[in-house]
Amino acid sequence: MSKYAVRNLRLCTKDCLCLYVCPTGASDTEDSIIDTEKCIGCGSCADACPSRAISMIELPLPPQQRKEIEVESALQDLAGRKSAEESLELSLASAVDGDGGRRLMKALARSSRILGEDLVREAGFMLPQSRAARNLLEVLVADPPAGFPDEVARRLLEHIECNE
Amino acid sequence: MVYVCSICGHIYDEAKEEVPFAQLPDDWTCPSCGAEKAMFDPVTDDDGQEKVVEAEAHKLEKLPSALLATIFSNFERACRKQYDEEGANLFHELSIALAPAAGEGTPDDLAAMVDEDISKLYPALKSLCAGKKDRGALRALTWGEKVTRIHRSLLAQLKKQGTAFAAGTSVWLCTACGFVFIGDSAPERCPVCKVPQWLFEQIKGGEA
Repeated sequence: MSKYAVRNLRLCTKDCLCLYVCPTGASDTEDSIIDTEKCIGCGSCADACPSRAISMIELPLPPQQRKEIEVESALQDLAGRKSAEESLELSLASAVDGDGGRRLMKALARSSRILGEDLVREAGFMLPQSRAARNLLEVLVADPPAGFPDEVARRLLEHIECNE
Repeated sequence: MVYVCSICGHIYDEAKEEVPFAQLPDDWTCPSCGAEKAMFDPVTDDDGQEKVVEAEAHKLEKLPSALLATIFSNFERACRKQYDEEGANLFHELSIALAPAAGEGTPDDLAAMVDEDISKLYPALKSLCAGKKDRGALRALTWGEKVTRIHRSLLAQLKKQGTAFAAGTSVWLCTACGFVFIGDSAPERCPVCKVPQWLFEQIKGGEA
């Protein structure tokens, strides 16, 4: 089990106490993103931060909660529905009259995607490290649909470590 | 011993149930889909492992292809939260490559779909998940239903106001739950998921 620190830049108030306490200099970077190569997961920065802008993530992540197959498949159907709505909203975003309507359709399309993402998270696809994610990538690489960039999927299979 | 419904995949695990499967009455039906008792297949523990794998493979085959872009954009988000930029970028490429084709229809067609979501799909799913005591899924459905109701109300306003809709004011999106708001500034807190104002994004005009 190891840990590493992540910083939420929206909460960071630049008190910079993390720089004082970090034994490896991992928190001192030009883009304020903690250097995961240097971070040893000691947690000193998270303890020292007055704004609670740093939190520790444990690796490997625990396996996802098992869902009932029936629930998963019903949620996936609804997510598919949201995807169909998103498609329609995207085409309406350049078809309806008026700038307000177009902005609305654009917002609705983004919103439908967010709803879909939330549903697939609850339908067995929460973590990129999960067995379900790996299976899906493997199935797609073995039998790629038209236009599927299988090289990208192969790189992901190498890059992401499975936690189950 | 574990028994799996061959219709819906419902699992009858004797270890968790009070009545052994064999002692269930003949007219007993699957609590999930109503299939008759004979539709259940017994699996031993070792086999059970295989069955789960088979069920997973089956699940992947059934996965609507339009969902792939959504699954991958969700993984992109998850990687970014974990500071994995490389993973996020790769998943981003996949989600763009698999983006569903543009849909065909009018705003009225869209409103009809949204109406059906609210009147049928959400209530049915909420009762299914309540029965299964899946509070995570219920949370997603509770927020999703509220946000979908907002979609419906905004579509109705657009229909009424036409080109005057949102003229001179802004369209805001809650990037956490998808809530959409029309006004000069975003709400202090999202009324659906309660995140602070800075998580709202202003949706500007131009190409979608």
